[in-house]
Amino acid sequence: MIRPSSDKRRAEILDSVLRVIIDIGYTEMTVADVAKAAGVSTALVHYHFSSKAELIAAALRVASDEDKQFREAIAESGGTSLGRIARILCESFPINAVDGTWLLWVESWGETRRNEVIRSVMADLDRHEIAMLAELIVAGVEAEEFACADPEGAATRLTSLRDGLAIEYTLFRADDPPDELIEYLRGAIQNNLGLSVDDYDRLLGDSRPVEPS
Amino acid sequence: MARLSPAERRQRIIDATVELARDQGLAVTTVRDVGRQMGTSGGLIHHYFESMDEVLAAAFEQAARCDLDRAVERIDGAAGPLDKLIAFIDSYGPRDADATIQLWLDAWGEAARRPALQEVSRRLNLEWQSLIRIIIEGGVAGGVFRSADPDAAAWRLLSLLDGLAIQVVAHEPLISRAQVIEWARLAASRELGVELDGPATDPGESVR
Repeated sequence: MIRPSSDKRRAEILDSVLRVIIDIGYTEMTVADVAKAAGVSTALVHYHFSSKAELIAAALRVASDEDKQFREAIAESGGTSLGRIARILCESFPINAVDGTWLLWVESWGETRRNEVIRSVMADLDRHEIAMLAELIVAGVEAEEFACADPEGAATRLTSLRDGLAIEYTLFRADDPPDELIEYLRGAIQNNLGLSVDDYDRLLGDSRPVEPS
Repeated sequence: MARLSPAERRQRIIDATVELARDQGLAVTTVRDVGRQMGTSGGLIHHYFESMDEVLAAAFEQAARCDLDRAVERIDGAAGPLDKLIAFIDSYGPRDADATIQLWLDAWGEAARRPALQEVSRRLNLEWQSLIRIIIEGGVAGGVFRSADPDAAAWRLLSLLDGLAIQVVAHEPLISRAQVIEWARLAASRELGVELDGPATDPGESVR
């Protein structure tokens, strides 16, 4: 039998933490729950992480880093600024009931006032997305794709609106495809950047967001 | 406990739960906590409610419905679609905003695990959505607003306010409450082709 390396074990434990947060919730979950989900002993979890708080912080940072990398990859890809803005917003939308990411975010927002670490990870994640979208909006204005007097405000409104729609979808509509809510999101992008539906489609060109299947 | 009717006892349980949930959070409030708060046993609570999930759902509904009722009253008192729209934006939330937003976040966090909370939060969300949709439809019918799809416009406005409320509560001081009102008004102006200028009637407070 090949023994998994220590790093691999650590990563597996962190994966399980995210699942346990979603299934049991921050307040009620225990280190033993995580050990059980990861199929390891509680002692091994304690070997890697000194407390439940540290376990949660490490797992949330992993999820947050993945979210940032997903956006960075899109921002660095080609196409119009609008195309990249639309991809960042629309492709971050939950696509089905199995996608646990948004359940994790919903769970985490509720804890931000009770847990300083969760608060700082979530705030950092938000700032990261807003800064990235604002940068793309500035680039789009410079390239004369659209006009926007307040890129940071528009970026904040768009991420907020996407959050609101994603909550609605994740909690109440995840049995159906999210097409209708993504359509609402496109309308918001058009409203915020002063684009007609035709201009929006023309600018999107080849960098159309991947449709959920 | 003094001699109370079953309805009064039930109401006392809900009141005690609201108080505890505002104080310590919805998810961690247990039958035992409520019993202790009321100076009674958990058994009494189980006599009136099938499960703690039901108690929490009833408590959340009572707290959240207060805000909704207040908003309806304010909107009914406003003359014309424009003033109703402003009243909606300004009152999409209570005076003691923070506590109720936290309850909403708690309810959302628990909704995936507790069907009773999911049902209540979904129902209240739909009521808020129809409140603003009806205002928009009225404005379109009266030629005050332009909107090809009032239902979509209502979802956008509601979702924007929800997302901004999260920003305020979870990430303060990233943005202020006054900023939320200003942005919601700006979004509504663009969405409905109207001007919503002037200061918020209740600056610095109203977020759900």
